[in-house]
Amino acid sequence: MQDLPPIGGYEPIQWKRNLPTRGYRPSIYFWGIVGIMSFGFYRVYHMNDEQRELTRERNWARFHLQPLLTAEDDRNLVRRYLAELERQNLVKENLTPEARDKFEKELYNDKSKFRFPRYTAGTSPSESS
Amino acid sequence: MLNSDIFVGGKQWENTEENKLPNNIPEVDEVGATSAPLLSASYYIGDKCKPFNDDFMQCKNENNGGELNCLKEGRRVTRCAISVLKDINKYCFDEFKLHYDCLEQNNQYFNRCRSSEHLLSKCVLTNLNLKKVVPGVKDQIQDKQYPIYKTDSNDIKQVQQFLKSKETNSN
Repeated sequence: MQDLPPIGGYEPIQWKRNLPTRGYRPSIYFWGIVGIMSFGFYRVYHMNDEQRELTRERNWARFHLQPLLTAEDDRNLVRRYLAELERQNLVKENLTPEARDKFEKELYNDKSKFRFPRYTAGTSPSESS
Repeated sequence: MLNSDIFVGGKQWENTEENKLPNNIPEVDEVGATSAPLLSASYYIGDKCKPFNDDFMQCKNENNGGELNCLKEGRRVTRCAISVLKDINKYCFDEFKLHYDCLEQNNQYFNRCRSSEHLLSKCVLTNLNLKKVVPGVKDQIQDKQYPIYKTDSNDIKQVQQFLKSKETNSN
């Protein structure tokens, strides 16, 4: 004796999960994100353009001011340089001839251009009272 | 001073020079404006003083820095800048003050002060005939209608107040 299927066959087996679907179709999410990001990048593109222009505006404002700031600074440099020469003359008065020769020796051998003195002879500030 | 007690040398060393320029170099007033007013007026200075500025920079370029050689050109540059600032102060002082105050309050960003800038540029154009132009482009950034980097709301408010008070004064 063999066990046989019931008359009319078995019930169909439920192999698929019976859960409710949530939200929209996946493609809607995909294209939604693509849309939002495209808008964002569009804005970034224009922002970069504008930022570049703002930087240029700032730079040109500085270019217009630079000569006047430089002129003021140059005047100060020249004033200090001429005062330094005057002070050197005062120092020279009290020197022996040998010391004076040494003092007057040029710092630079290259005479092709003028240089402001970076180092000068004189007493250090700690020694002078 | 504590500083001079601790450190060897024991003397305050200030990097200053009290001596004046010699008399054979003509004296000139310094500009004396701080950064915000200078920035506010920079394009007008550049517009009016371009020949002097170019002259000065060319002189410096040709003379290896030219601190000693370009004093004359430098004085011209300074005088020209002073004349522009004086003119702005004379004709557009209120607008000018509004703009540089705004620049001072907004980290000296031009884009935060467009309202007062338009006011100032209108006044300067009518009275001094100077114009702000950023070289190199056709569409000027200061005239952009819907900028992304927007004007400070405080600036807009103050400009409206200024216009209102001006109207009531004129009536």
